[in-house]
Amino acid sequence: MSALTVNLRLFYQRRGLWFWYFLIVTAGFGLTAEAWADPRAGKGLFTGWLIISLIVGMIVAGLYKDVLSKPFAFCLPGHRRTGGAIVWGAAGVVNLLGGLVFWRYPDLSEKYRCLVYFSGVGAGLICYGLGMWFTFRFVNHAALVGFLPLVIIGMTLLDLQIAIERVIVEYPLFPILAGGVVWAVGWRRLGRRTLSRTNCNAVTMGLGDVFNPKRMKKYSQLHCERQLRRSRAEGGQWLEAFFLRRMEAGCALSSGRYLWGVLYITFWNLNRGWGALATIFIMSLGLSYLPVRNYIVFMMFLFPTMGVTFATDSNLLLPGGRREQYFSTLLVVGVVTVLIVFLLGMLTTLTILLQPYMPDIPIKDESFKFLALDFRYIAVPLIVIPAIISLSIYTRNNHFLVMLMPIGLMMFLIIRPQWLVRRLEPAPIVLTIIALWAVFVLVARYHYQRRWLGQSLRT
Amino acid sequence: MRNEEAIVEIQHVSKRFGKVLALDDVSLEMRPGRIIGLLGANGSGKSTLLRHIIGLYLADRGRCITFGCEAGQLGPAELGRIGYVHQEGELLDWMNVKQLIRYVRAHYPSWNGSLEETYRRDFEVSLKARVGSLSPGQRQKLSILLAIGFEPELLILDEPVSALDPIARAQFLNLLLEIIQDQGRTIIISSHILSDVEKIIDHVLIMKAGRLIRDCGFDDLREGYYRVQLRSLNGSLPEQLPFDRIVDCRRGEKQALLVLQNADREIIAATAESIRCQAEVDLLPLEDLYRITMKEEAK
Repeated sequence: MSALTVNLRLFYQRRGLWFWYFLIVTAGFGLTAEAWADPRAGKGLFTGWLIISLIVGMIVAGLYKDVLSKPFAFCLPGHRRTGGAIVWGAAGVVNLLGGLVFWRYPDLSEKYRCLVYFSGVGAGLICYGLGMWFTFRFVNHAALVGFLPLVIIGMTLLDLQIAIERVIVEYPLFPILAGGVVWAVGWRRLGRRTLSRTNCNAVTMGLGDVFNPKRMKKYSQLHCERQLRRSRAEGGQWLEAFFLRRMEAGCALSSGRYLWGVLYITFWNLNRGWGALATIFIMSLGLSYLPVRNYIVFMMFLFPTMGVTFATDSNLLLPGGRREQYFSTLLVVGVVTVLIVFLLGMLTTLTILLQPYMPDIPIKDESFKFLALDFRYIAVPLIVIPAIISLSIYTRNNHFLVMLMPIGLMMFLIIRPQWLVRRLEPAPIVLTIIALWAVFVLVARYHYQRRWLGQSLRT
Repeated sequence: MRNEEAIVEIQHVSKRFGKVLALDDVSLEMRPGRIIGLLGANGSGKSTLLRHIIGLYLADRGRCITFGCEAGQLGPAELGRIGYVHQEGELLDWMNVKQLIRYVRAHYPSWNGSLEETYRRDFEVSLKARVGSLSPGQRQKLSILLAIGFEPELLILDEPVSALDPIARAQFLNLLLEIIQDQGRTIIISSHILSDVEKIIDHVLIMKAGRLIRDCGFDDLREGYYRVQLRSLNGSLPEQLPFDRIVDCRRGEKQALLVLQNADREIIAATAESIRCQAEVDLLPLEDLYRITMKEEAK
């Protein structure tokens, strides 16, 4: 099997990427279909493919960087040439296909249409090259995708997509030349001798790694180390002092001491996430200007829930049996839920207090109004948290499945915002909450009483 | 009938993971005050067996009793008597070494501070390093420290030295011998580095494909086989060598190297003399004993 074939196999072997493939295919199909059905200039529809090209660039370059990071790859013969072939081969395929939407651009002569098509391909290559640059420049390039919705919203509000479309159509030589330069520079840089050396054994967080708990852990470790180097402090000292005092106050080798120990680890984990939480808090205020604010805000708080690690998942043998581990899981999930509900309550109260004072934001012909969050939506985390944790326990923390659930739910609620509102009657909501928490308790009980614990030898 | 003396009793335990039968009707007893070597090829069920002892895995059939308690029901009181070093040394990576030691120490009623200090000095364990950034060797050293710091009665070591350098391995073996000086302590060590293990163990368990194929004292195993180097004193060796139970034979015209099972040193000497040969009789190293046991089992 050639090096090229082996590298190509990675595209389907990395199951974490399937989610992105699905998004790309869906978005690509939607954009193309609309451009074909209603090819109107000045809508900015034709530039949608550039975002797709950027993401594909990040995926393909991310895979190549991942291969380079494996020490065995350093010695593989001819591997340096394979990178260029794969990364820029994919660039060619994606952009030659994506550029076809410009073929439908209205009111162009046959010759000029051809030029605009290649201009679109060139613009795609620039975006693809940008994605590739992000990948090799940033360790956690996957996190950059999180900013894409903001970029898209910003572009739409400022009509940048229309400006880009005009450049592609009215000045086609510029994107063609720039795209050619990006192609040439990119090809040259991927063939550098030092690339393998600098990336060998490097930690990387690609788009597919978002669902890979081991990789997430590795990156989190690297992040922690950087923070430690910067601060020169141990971190979590007050937490440590408080919880160790509580532990030592209790009876030695007792369930109580073990449970305090688990709480210590939980709060330590939460303590590391204050920065992210503060960001979410501030972003939430901005999102209060959007119609779907309630769902986005509340779902955003759930992602930290998925990051909850149970101390019992470690192979470190501590004096806590299956019974203690079961109760510690109930305790940790309870504490995290209370904390999230408390933060949401605070945020909701804050938006209610701010509502009279927040100005309207006029953009184009529309005026965006700041609206307070609705307290009733506190039911969302109370429903989703036990569901996520039950799935997480049952699938032994399969991040792919566990993340798909809230992402899918969030997308569904954004598309059909009225779906839940109509069902926000107290009785069915309370019943659903009780039922899901009962399921969580039963799943946890089954797991800790009947299944193997610790980290598997086989996974 | 339960044996009151045994700290671990495994009775007809079977465990299956999907299609793989990881443990197949394993029965054994472990008594206090021993260093037990658990040997076997990769995937033979060693780690699975050890995980049953501490209750991480539950048997599909049979019972596993540790400190008189069903392993699945072990509570803080029993687990507080067990130290465990996992082969992958999975720890709480985000802490630094000092914090992790303090965290683990807080779980136990007592902690041997002087042992910790000596160990840290001898094994060069840095307190400031982040656990996740430790090399595999350093990580193993830390795992060992965390497992011995509270002076457990039962110390379970699953591939504890695979990542250690030869000097650290030798230091570690000496440490185990020091630990066992304390009466009543039991150590179970699973390792592929048999030349190390044979220096300290007094009991051997050998596993193959989930089955326990040997459960005996190390001396009994060693004395069951002799390596005999035959040298002819006059001409060639006879076609047929008149020894019973030859397990292995490599011969030339005037010399032969035999492995004999259940032989007697005096009989070997007498037989060699009868064919006008000089015989040098030695005990086999554990590596050869293991290989022969596996070969015999395959027959």
